Amino acid sequence: MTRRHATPRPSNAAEVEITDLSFLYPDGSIGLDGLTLRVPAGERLALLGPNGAGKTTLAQHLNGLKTAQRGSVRVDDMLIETATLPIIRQRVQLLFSSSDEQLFMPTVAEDVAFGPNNFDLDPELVDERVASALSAVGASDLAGRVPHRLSTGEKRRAALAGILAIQPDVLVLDEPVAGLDPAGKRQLAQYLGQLGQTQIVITHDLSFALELCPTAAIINNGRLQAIGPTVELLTDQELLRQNSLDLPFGFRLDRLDGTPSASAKRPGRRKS
Amino acid sequence: MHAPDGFLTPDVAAATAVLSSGVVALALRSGNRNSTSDAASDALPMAGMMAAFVFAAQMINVPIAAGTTGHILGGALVAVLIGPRLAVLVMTVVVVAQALLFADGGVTALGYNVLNLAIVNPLVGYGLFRLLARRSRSDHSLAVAAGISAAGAVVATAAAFSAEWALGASAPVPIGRMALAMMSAHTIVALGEGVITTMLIGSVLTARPDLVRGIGANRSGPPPPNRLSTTWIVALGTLAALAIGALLSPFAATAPDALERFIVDNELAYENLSPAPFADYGAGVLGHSLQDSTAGAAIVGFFGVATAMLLAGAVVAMRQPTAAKHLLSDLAPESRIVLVVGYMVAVALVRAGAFWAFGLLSAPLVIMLVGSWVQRVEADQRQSTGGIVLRLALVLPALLAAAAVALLSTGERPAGLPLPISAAGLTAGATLACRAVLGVLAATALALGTTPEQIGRGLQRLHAPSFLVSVGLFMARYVNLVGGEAERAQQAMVARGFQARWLWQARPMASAAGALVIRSFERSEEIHSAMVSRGFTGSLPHSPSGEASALDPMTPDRGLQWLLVGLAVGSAFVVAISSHLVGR
Repeated sequence: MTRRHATPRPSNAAEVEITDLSFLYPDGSIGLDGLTLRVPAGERLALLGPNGAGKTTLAQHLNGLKTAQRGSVRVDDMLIETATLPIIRQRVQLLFSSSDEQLFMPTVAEDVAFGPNNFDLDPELVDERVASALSAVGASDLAGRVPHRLSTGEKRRAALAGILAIQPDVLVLDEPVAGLDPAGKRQLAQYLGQLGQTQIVITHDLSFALELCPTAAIINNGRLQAIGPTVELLTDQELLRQNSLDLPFGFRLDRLDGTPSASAKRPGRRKS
Repeated sequence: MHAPDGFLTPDVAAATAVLSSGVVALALRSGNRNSTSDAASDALPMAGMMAAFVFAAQMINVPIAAGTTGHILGGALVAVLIGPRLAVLVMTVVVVAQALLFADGGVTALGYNVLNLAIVNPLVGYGLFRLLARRSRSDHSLAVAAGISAAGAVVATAAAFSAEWALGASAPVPIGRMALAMMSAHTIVALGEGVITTMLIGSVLTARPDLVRGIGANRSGPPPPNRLSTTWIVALGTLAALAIGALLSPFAATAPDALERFIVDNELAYENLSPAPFADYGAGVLGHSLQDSTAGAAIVGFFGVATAMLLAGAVVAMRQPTAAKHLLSDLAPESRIVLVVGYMVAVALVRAGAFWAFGLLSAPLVIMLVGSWVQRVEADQRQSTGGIVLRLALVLPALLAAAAVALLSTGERPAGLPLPISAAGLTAGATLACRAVLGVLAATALALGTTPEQIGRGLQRLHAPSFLVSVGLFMARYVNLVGGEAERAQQAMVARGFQARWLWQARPMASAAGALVIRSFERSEEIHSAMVSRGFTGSLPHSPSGEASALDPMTPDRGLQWLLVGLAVGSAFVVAISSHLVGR
């Protein structure tokens, strides 16, 4: 069988630009309502907001699982549309909030190889990518394991390896620390902190957001409510309360950094 | 309803195997022709999740009456949800996996088990549903239509089984008698299946009506003229089912299937079930009938085989543990599958009543079994012994089926027997018991040393249809998750004081199962988007050789392996053939 193998695409951080993005669900509920957001190349951005705010809907737009009903998403000037999907899916990868859905192949190694194989890479290169992706998240010893026997933390790292093996420019992580114990959380933050890609991290864990992401954006009702340095957003009690966000009990940011929140930009924030 | 090895004669087993393979191949092909290969593979996560759901649903006990429980077959349910073609494929995967991994149903019985459970059941269920759904206007009547179809499908399955018995009976049980027994036993099963399916589809319809396929067209179209009111259909159907059930339920007490679940799931609560005829079967027969030559030979034969197994196992375990453990574990998965299947075919070919041959064939099996047991204990897998015992408990339903055959057989009755058993029936029953025991042991030996993933890999190398293998691998991957969800739902009910004894108390369980269906579907949708997200475009990539080795044990010499497998299977066949030549 002669099968031409695609030449691997070099990986680098990319800029993501979301312009006036709207999405209505078939039942009429609002997913996104004119959201505009720019994430510079190489930045780690925390995406905060209450349940149902539109965070996961936004994530699904970023690699074309959902297509824009209005507005657009660009990755380094490449518009996400049907024609660009094969390339977009090599450039933007999602970590799903449930690792069980993401790990569907019989072994971890095969699952990590699933993505690279879909892009017709040379088998030797696939093996190489699998090995390096697994070692990047400290999961080399999991290669031959069966996914359903892994712990939650191991599953999360295996799933992360599965998307890293595609060597994307942008990582979109949906609830990466949900269900992890404090040690697992710290470990994951450490691995993610070493990666050079642009990262958009959806999380309810404000301390994790503060640790990993210099910048944060708050989304509510499908719109951008605020964007700015994470520490500034998290010290704005009023802003947090309005968006059903709350720091952990006894956690006081003003002791770490007393800057008031006045300097945070708040595009789209309504006066009420 | 899972028939054990040797329940029907080898020629019927072979004929049904050909027929079943043909239908399954057609189901595989028609999918490829009617749509692009894209859509066929697109259905993979859904088919895999449905297979996992059926597997898990068969673990949910549903109360039937007075504390007796049963489980649904689910063929009609799956056909209503995902259409007949995929349903046949999904049910085939479930039935084959049950035979290969859990020794539930014989491997050489796969021909007729697949035909009855994976083809007749979903297809008849789907056909009935299409007929009835045409007359259904509301969600409620649609759910009832699904229930009636499911009940009808169970009856059809029992009828198919009776018809096959007419062609290839392994014991002198007249077809009329067998049909009556099968039908009466399964009427109550059908009733349960119908009620559960109604409730389950009902709860799915409330939450995700889009999941119940084949409805769309009927809803929009004009009402068909002169239709029989749904209420009447429901009332008549229920009344008929109840009447038959009430009349025949005494027979149903001995239905192997209801008992089978009862035994396995209620952890062998013997006292509760003891159907009168079997209570002192062994002791009574042994005490009174050893003078009678035929019956005596049968009994001695059966217990002789059992003793030989135990002795051989004990000897091997004590003297050669390491040699024994290498017998199976060094073989590649595909060689193991060929070895076990070949062996089972040989067992099925042994002449009825040639108990010495069964004894001879049991020896290597017990050695392998003890070998893998020793290996597991050495590997410090703590629950291994309990697990093996639990697996071997699967012999019990097969033995019950054998006893039922012995009881139902006609012919001359030997003097001194306390039970109405004919000599021929006794021989047939004992033969069936031997075959079933050997089949369960062989499948257990395979399953103990081989993970589902390895079996999938082996089947792939043996060129089994890749769609089916992929569905099986998905099922193996997700059955624990779905099963865990089912178990938690059940625990949550029990924790809040729920204790079901009667069928009409099954509603909470059915809505839990309905929630499980919806969860399974949503999970399959999520898996699908996870696949698409990573560049999946419709065909599963071939895994590079490097990864496959993680699942394979060391396989130094393929040629030598196949030679060994050939020799082993060959000698089993020699024993089987000589049983027909010697001692007639």
